[in-house]
Amino acid sequence: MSQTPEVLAELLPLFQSESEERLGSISAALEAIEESPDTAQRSDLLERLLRELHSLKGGARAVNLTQAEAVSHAFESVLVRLQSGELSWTGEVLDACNQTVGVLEQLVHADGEEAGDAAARTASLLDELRPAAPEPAKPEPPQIEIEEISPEEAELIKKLLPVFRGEADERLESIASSLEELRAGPESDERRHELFETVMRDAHSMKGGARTMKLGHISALCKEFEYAAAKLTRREVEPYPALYDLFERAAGLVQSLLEAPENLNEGLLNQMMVDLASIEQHEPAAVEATAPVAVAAAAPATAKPIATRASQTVRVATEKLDNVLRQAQEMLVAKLAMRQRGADLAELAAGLREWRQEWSRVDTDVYRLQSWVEKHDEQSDDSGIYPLAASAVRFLEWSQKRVRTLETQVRELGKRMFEDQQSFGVMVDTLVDETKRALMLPLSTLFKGLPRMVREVARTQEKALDFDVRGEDLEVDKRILDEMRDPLMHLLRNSVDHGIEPSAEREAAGKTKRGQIVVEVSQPAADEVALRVADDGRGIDTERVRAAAVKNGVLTEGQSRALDRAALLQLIFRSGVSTSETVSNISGRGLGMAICREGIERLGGSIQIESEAGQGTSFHIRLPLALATYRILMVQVGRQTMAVPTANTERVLRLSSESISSIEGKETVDYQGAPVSLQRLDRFLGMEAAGAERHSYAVIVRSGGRLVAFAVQRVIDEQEVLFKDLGSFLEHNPHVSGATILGTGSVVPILNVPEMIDAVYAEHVVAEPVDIAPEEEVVEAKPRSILVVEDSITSRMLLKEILESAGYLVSTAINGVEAVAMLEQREFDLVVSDVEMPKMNGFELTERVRADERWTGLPLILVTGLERDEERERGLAAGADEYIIKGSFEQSNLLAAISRLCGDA
Amino acid sequence: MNDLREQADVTADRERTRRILRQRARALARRPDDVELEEIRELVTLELAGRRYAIDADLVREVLAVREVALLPTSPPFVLGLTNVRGRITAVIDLRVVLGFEGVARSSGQVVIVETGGVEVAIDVRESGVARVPLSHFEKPPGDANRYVKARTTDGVEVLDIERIVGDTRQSAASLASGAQS
Repeated sequence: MSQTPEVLAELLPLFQSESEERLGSISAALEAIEESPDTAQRSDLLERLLRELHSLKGGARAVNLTQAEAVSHAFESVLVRLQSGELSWTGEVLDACNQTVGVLEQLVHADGEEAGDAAARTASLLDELRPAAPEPAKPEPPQIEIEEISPEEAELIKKLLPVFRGEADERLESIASSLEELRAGPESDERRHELFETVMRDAHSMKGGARTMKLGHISALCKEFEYAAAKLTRREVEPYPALYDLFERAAGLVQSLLEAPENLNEGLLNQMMVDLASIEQHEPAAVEATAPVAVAAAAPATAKPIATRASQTVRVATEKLDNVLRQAQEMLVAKLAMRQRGADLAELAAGLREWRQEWSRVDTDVYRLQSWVEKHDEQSDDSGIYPLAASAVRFLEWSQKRVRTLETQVRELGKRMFEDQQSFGVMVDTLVDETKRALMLPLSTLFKGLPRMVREVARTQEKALDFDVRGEDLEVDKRILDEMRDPLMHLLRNSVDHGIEPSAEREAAGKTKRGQIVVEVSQPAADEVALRVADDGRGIDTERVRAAAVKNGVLTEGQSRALDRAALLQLIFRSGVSTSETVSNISGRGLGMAICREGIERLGGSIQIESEAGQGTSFHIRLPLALATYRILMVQVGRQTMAVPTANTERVLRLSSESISSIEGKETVDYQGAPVSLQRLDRFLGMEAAGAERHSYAVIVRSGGRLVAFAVQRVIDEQEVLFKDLGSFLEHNPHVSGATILGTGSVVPILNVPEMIDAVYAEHVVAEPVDIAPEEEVVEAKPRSILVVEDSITSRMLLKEILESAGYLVSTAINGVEAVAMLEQREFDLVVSDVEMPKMNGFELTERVRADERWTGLPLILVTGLERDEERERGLAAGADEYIIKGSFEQSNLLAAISRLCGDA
Repeated sequence: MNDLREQADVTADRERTRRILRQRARALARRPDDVELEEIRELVTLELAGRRYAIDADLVREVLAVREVALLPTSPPFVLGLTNVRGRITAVIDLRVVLGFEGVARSSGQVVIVETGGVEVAIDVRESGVARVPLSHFEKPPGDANRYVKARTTDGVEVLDIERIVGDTRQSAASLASGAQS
């Protein structure tokens, strides 16, 4: 890979700091190997060494440090030999490795070739390492019957595995902390119950994930684990101390199976499963007896990762995280592009099929020609046709074979492409999801510095007060927290400034000497946070608000008289209304509260005020936990970028002169067998630019069953953006409903598709498509939207990917509560839900949906790992339309059920 | 001769000094607000089509450089487009068009953000500055002045009636929007 010098200069410091970390980790691993004679642990460490070194090598290559790359490579080969058993960890090998680390440290930082000699020496030193006496061969793990896996599946599983590992790690950590609390003795019986339930759920989720990943051993173990925890949850078994040990060992075993499946000890696994299954027949002695064996085997694996992971947090500049999110979202474009390539391939295959069909028509002719050639030879034919016919027949035979192979290859390629696209899609969605999660910060970060600020203002105003922040610490999108800082400061400053009275005045009014300001946090809905900023000060004098509004011309005297107290209070959010007597540059221009409200509404939140004269004022703020986003398709119109909401986009076609036909002088394109009016978007919007490219694409948009094709210069990409209105000056524009600001800071207007379609239909008499396409067909063309409810990220992403690939629009929720919130917000055609979930499980969700009139007839499918009959009955009794068991669950089952329930089949 | 003149100068100086001191004393005796509001007006000055104009600084929220202005289709000719003002979408208007000057509307890269009556808009300007003008230096605009000029300073700077401009242009944009819609 060759990079330009500028890029290299930027990359080098990055690479250097990365390498320092990696080399540090390599040194530590080597040290650990030296100290630990344990083979299993050594092989873990070796794997880590290989990983680190491999990354180091890649990095060195990227920044053109050829020496470092070569040495890393030599080092890597030695490690591979160690792994295969060709070399063993002798003192000589360890010395060579340590030396190499030192050389690499130099090479990474050397600008020139100073370290060249050292590099060459090291490389030869490494090459010359001789194998020691052969180690005794490791006993092969017993062969266990494992489900058949097709190569395609294996590929997908391989790609999903990291996702599952990450999830399982989290679950194991959660189990560890639950067990820790259980051991310490929970504060109440209820809490104990809750903790067992958490353990059960964690085991359950791992079971499901492992099953998806076809990790039979882990899934079987987790199943027993889950059932054991279930017994405790149902209070069928009373907890006893050795039980926690057992659970801990079970978790340890899951972990070691995850990290090194090849080290599986079947006897141990079976023993563990038996132990878990028989916790009710607990006799202290029996459990104790099996303990030492299991501990010995599981300990090294558990001790290491859990201990180190607990403290692994890193400080990252938020700007970097923002960039990561932006980049991750860019990947969504690549995902879409891949889908398009898949469609292109399908088209190519169709072309070849058409060729084959044409061929079959002339097949008999060719055959006759063939037999003629066979019957004749140069001598017997005197017309001179023979050589021509013979060569033509040879060519025809060859090309028929060739094209048939090509067709197979293209079809095969299409299939691969589809699989790659699926797994790539899962990865991208996971990446975006995880990055968004990384951008969630505890609300407490918003409150940092506020107490000091409040005290500071109180001191300068010579007021005595107490400031208190109460309530839950929820995680909120960092971008929301950033935007909230100023409004919150403003509200608090106002409270101290205008709300809280001086002590003497308070005492005279019969209040406590010290004023109170409180910020209270609560969570009124799954996706919302509420903040209450309250003071017990003098309250707002609505008479003064009225006077100020009149004085500043916001209202006339007469208008203001008509307002009640609540309406007068609302006036403080209008700019130009300030009751403050001292006018300074910072406050008192009456802009503060207006800006406050603007900021909060911009985030998709709201602010309400409540105030009693003499009693105090409180502001109620509601905010979303995450920023609401909007998907747009960016297109080039003339020379300008404009956005079409994805929700209105039916299809994007590539335009060629053949694809445009003319009906009564109006241009149309063919879509699903019907003509659709074609408009040049730049001309339609009056944005024609001299020298603009030609129109290469048509975006077919839909609104209210009507279609219009707009020709655009280019389709740039699809993005998830924040929708913003046009500002206070332009409240309405005929063809633009709002705009968005891209990562680059550019403004992109968002087109108002319904109004544009209305205008096209009003201006040009366009044949309504109803006479050609029957109503059902029009409805059918719209992709169904499905809500997937699933708490395991692995399963959630997999389901999402399967359904999206089948052409559905998929939204996801992580539990029943969130699902209900989403159902309330928009319409879905179908719900696919897991059963075991925190907060509100699948049964409860089903009951909730069935009990609500709004969702009458909404199909609901439960997909679950619970295979006990009573569970299945419960699911159907709750009102689920289908109950699909994850074990037996195949894509086609689910897809068939969905299309049946949607009435498509 | 010289002596006399010097003496006269000294006397004049003393007179002036005394006058200034008296003025200062009066100013100090007043509430500070009144000094700001009555004596001196702060203006943001701008140049349009080679003429000097000004806007009350009270109405100006900030002066910004904007990198780009996105064209907005089906909008009145005085709307240059949309720009990003600290994360908010804000319309940019061209006063040259509003004031009736010839020329092609094109963004010049700098805007003055004004706010009046809860409406915020960005005004495209080529050059801008700040001037502090005593109240006494304001005069009524000549009779033939543009309807959007509400005053003139003694140095010939025309003070624009931003409230009226924003009110009128906004209304005209709104009626165009609803006209196109129907």
